[in-house]
Amino acid sequence: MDLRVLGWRYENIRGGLRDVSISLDSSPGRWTLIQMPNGTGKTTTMSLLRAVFSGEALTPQEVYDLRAADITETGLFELRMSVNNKPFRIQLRLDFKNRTHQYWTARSEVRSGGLEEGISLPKELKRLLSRDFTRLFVFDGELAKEIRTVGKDRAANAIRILYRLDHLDMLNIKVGRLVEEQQQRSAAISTATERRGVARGKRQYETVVTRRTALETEQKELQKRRKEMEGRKTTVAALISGRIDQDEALRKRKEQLERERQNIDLSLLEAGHQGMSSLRVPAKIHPGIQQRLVALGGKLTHLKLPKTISVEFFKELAEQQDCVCGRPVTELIKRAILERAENYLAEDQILVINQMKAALRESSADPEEFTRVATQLASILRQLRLNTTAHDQLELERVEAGDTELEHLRQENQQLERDLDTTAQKIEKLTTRDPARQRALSASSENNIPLCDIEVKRCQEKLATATNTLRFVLQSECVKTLVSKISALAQLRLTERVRIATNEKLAQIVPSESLRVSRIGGALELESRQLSSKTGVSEGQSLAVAYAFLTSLLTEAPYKLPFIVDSPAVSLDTAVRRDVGDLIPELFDQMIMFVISSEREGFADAFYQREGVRYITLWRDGEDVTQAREGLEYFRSFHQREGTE
Amino acid sequence: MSFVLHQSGRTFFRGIIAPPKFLMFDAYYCCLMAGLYARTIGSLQDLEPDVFVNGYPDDFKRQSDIIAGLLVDAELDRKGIQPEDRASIEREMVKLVDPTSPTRLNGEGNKLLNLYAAAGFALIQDKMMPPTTIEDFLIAYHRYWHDPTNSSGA
Amino acid sequence: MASPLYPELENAITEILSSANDQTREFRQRLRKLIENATLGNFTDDDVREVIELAVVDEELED
Repeated sequence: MDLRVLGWRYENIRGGLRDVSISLDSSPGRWTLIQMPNGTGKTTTMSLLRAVFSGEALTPQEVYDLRAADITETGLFELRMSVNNKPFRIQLRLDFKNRTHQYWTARSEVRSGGLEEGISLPKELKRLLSRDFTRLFVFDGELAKEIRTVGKDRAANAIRILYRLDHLDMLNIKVGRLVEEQQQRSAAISTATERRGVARGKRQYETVVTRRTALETEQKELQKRRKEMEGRKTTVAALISGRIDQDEALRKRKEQLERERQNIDLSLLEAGHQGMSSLRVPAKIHPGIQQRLVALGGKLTHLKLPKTISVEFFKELAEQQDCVCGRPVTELIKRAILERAENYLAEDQILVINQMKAALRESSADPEEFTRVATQLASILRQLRLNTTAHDQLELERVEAGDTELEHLRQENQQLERDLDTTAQKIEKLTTRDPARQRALSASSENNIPLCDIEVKRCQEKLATATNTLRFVLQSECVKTLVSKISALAQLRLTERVRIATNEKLAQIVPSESLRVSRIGGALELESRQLSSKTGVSEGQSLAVAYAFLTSLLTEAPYKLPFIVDSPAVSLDTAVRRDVGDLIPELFDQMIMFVISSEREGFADAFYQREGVRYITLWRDGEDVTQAREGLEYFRSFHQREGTE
Repeated sequence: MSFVLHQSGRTFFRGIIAPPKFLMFDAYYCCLMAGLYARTIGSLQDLEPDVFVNGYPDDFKRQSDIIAGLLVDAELDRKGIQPEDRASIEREMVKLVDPTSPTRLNGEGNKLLNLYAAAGFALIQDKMMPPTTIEDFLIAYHRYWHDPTNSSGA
Repeated sequence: MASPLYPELENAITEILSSANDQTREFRQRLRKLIENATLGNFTDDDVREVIELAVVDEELED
């Protein structure tokens, strides 16, 4: 969809805009610079443009504030545009006396050429031109800040809307509604018995859902309590340690024990590791195993098993004319041979048994290894016990010395351990998915969340069946899921594309500042290292980011929109102005820039060399009426007159 | 090749199952070794309804031939097949062996393995408390094998 | 609006639908078209219903 502004006109609008007409019709008109000194209605014009694009409602006060003078009764703002080359005219008619307003549209398609009430744009365009969205291309400087404000999802929403992903949300909503309708339809035609069944199904479902919520709350509570207790346990341990430290001699012993403990833990780890390695080799577990393996290998060898002759040999033999021994192979003999063959192993079976034999013969192991490790482990565990006892002893000595506080802490610790145990059991019962554990703990859908989830699903499906909608519900869920996934994936990639494009432009506009977008979540997030914590982002930087983002967003979108901006460069320093002036206009098929005279330098003058630029200058004459004049020379040499703001 | 636990196995070993240090399969394997050595099989009713793992875990792949050999050895003994009875021995092996299986055993061999493991579990359970740490289990398991009063000890 | 879908959406549709291999080809083609139409507002309730009814689901209820 291609939208272009062809011009606009004012009647009796404040800022001296009594009767001014701006015409951008004649080709090509890609860039238009409109020089409007402050006070000539720049801000008003931007507001009016936004209003007619989006059809926004104005308050009575807003209407009244647009009047040119107190005595004027009516006013008008008319925008001419083309949508896919079809002309449209939108009028905003203002009644200052009654403080009302109305929109009218003239469409070229309507043969009478007359005006229709309201805004009559193509459906797709109307849907796109919401109030918020309009601020993107009739650029509102405030927006520059808002797209970086986390919490206002302007950036993400802009992407979503522009690229029509919100349509996919609506598709899913539509799917949901179809399901509801289906369910209602089924409910309507069912018999009394069936309806009772549905009612009952609903009740059951709601009961189970309520229970699930309650179980989840319980789980959160328990987890919270566990965390608190664990925290307290750590604190208590530290306090106990602190109390021991009060006695110098005890403190020294404690530290010694802690060092020892570290070594013990390391040895335990190593020995455990060795133990598992030994365990996993059968021959290492016990000498008896190794003996049996060897014995079997010997047996097979002794018996000359497997036989080297395979069943294939016999089958082939049966097919021969003559036997190996020279006698002819008759039908009778053939049958006898094949019968015999069944007692023999097939070749691949022979292979396997040979492999087994080889493994048996090769298996060897140090018969004492496992015993050594077990003995070592036992010894380490003994040390661990002694260490723990000794550590405990420190506490007891303090208690005996009269440290009642320590005694209390020890008691508290024991109680905490008991409570933690109980809580762990409760949590396990509530959350375990292991069927064996569920059985052991008598878990059911009444007290176990995974089982309850199964029950919820069952009730849901039963309800759906009762309402004859099970299949449709499942199918709808399937469609919704796919659509959601597609939408999410597309958004992810789009966001990344826009982000990269934004950074590329930033690199060109403000190369020295290395201002970069790190992420586009709901808002545009800048890499934090560039932002000085004291000053944040300067207005110039903010604008640069906004331009880079918006141009990246708008130029590759499925819609072609004009970019209309008020004082695009006033906050930028001259070097940046030049870059902005060089770079950004290339990106749009139509750009309208309102500039003030001081912006000419660095920004507007970048345009003087270009072809196809239109220059319009507005000023207020002696009678306080705004005049317009077209042309580069006038534009360049215009000086604001003394006395005008 | 589907390995199935004794129905009380999970609960008994739950304190120490901590992959990859100690797998559920390690527990199964320990029971299996005990059962094979004792030449005792359990019954299908002892088993859990579902498979807990298909195929040998990586650490055990090397032992597939050995374990198949131990199974053959146990079966020969359990059935009282004489060491000189060549034909029966060969028949027994054919009954259990599947060349195409990564475990070298066919369905029948598979089933028997699970039954030996179930019996082994009962033997172990009889001789120790549910272990609380891996180290404790290693010591207790070693003790089981070397306990002179234990009928399956050497 | 004769323009095809922009690449990110086009590719997202392709990726997600190709991994939904329990679904029929017809369903996937129709859903793709529906999504394309949806972005242009070019669809009716019946379109949506028809596509929904093409989805393959497993209706078995455990009891």
